[in-house]
Amino acid sequence: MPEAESRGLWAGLKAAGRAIASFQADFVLTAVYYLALGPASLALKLSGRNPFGAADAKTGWKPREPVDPAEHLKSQG
Amino acid sequence: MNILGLSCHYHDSAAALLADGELVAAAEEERFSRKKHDSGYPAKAVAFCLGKAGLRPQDLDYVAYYEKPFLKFERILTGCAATFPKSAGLFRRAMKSWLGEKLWIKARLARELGVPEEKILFCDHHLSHAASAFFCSPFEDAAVLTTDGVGEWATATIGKGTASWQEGGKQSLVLSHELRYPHSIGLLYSAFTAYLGFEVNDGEYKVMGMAPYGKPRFETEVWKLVSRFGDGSFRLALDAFAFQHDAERSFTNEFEKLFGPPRKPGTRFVTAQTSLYDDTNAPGASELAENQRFADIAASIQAVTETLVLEMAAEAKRRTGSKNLCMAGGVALNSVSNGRLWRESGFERIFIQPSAGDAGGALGAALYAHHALLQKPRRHVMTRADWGQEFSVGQTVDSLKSAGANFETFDDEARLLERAVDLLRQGKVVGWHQGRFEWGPRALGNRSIIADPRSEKMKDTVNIKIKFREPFRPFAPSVLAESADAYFDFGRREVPDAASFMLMTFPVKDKKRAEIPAVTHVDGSSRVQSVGPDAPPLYRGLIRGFQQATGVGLVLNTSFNLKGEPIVNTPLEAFATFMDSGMDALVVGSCVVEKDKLQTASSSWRTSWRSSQAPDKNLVF
Repeated sequence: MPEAESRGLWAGLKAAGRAIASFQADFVLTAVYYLALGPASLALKLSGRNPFGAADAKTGWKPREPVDPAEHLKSQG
Repeated sequence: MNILGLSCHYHDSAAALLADGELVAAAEEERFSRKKHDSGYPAKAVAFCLGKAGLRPQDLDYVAYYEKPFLKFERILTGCAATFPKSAGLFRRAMKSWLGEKLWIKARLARELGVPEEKILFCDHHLSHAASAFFCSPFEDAAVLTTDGVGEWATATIGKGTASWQEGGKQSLVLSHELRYPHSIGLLYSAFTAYLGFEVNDGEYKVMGMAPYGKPRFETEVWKLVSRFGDGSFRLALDAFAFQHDAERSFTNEFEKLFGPPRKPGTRFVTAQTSLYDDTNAPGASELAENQRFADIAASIQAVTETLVLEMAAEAKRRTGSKNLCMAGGVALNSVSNGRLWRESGFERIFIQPSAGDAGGALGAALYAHHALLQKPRRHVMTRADWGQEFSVGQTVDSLKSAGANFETFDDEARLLERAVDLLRQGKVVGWHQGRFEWGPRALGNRSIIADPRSEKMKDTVNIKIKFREPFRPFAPSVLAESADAYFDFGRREVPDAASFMLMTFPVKDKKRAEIPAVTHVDGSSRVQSVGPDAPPLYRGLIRGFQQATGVGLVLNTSFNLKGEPIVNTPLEAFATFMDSGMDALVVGSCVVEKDKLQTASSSWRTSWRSSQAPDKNLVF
């Protein structure tokens, strides 16, 4: 097979592979969303905790914990 | 002690290198990759920074990344849970990107750079912003205010910095309070950016430019979206916003009920005050009315933003008692609100470094590591913005020759300036490419397009024929610092520090408006760049020469790029952009190219060069 054609075929196969992988990922992630985040969301609602801030708050400012620069910079979280 | 700062994986990735606390180089990746707002790993910016310092990756003591990936991931997951089941699409999209690359940033940085993982540090997003402002400022003590869309959880912070230039002195930067996602001034502004038909994280300055064509008659409606607590903090009415559960849409039908149908992207913006230039299609009454509504909405969100920023700054002042303010974050690039802060906040001095957005986080993370972790004394004050790549005379000449350009070379600087001033006086639009490119989104005289500000027509000419952009967009002046007070009303005797980086807007003095119409916006304001003794001498010389020739101590200055493209880096990119636009002349290094003297060989070179310059997509890992 000429080089240009085989390169085109390879590019086509890769594009098809990416499309299949994307569909598969969407399927798995949708399942995770409903099976894992659904219950988490329910638990959040039942606990009465609003991660977006309480509606009756007196201020929007939240105090930040003082940080030790050495500890702070080591951690990714 | 060599520290490399990095920001990437959201937008505007960048690298910055500190050697013993001195900034050696800083650059955004887009300048090298030619991909606007490039968010990929900044491989070329890193290579440039290391090369500039003559270092290899193994010579680095630390690599400081500009945010905390795990905290950001937690916020995205929590946000998706809180907005279940609306957030399915956002969840899928975010997880693909996070599980595919962003969560493994530490290992990837170690692999890309060939450094051990122990050398990689992670600085909180807003702390990176804060450090980029405070540790570049001239202050020993300052209040710090950061405001952007969102980092990990924080959307705004206030705090205080204390620093010393003496060995053994205490270096401290503490952010004491934060506003948290989704209550964000940046996301509020971005929702209006999307509503007004512009791209989020790109078109915010277009909203700012559109606002002066309107009156803030929708301010009451905007305030319905924002509940203030009276201490600079606020909550958003989340029913009107979709960004917290939708990756594609920023606002909901509730939002549209308040403001009407959104503006379609790409439609022309024309009001009774905007120029039609050579557009022969005159607008009808309904088009004018519809566009006036959009202008009024832009004016309204701008007015609300200014009020919110002023209130936050007042809170920062109240909490810290400092007379100085340092600002960073994307909202700190809003030059209109910065101008009001200068006039109304009561701070004696305000410092904003030129790359106040996310790219600047790379520098901030490195500075935080150097000063807060290592407790090294201050060494650096950012008085100029040219920290990027530069090209020698030989490289410039070779580039122009390779493009088939015929050009004149001036060995004598005075003669070069005389030639450039002559071109400007003749009404020519000149590409100006000198020295190292600028750090941040503004061209400040090293990668600029310059023109005569006295011409009424020049604004339209540069907008439409040179940059191919919307006719409503304003242009900024570069003014000699010593002449600035004659043209602009700073509201005080001194010229603010931030004006060196074109980060504040001021009224043009009434008696001067007719003299410099090309840089006077429709409301009589101007985003001033004050060119003082710290600015590149050649650029100062050019403006001084123009002043001697015309009596006007300023030139029109806009970034050297075409619409949708990053600012040029190399002499070849400058030449290609010059050829693709209606610019009349190009001054690159000591060479002058004039379009009407060019031979045809350059045109065929341009076609082949452009086709070889597709943005490099392989850089994103």
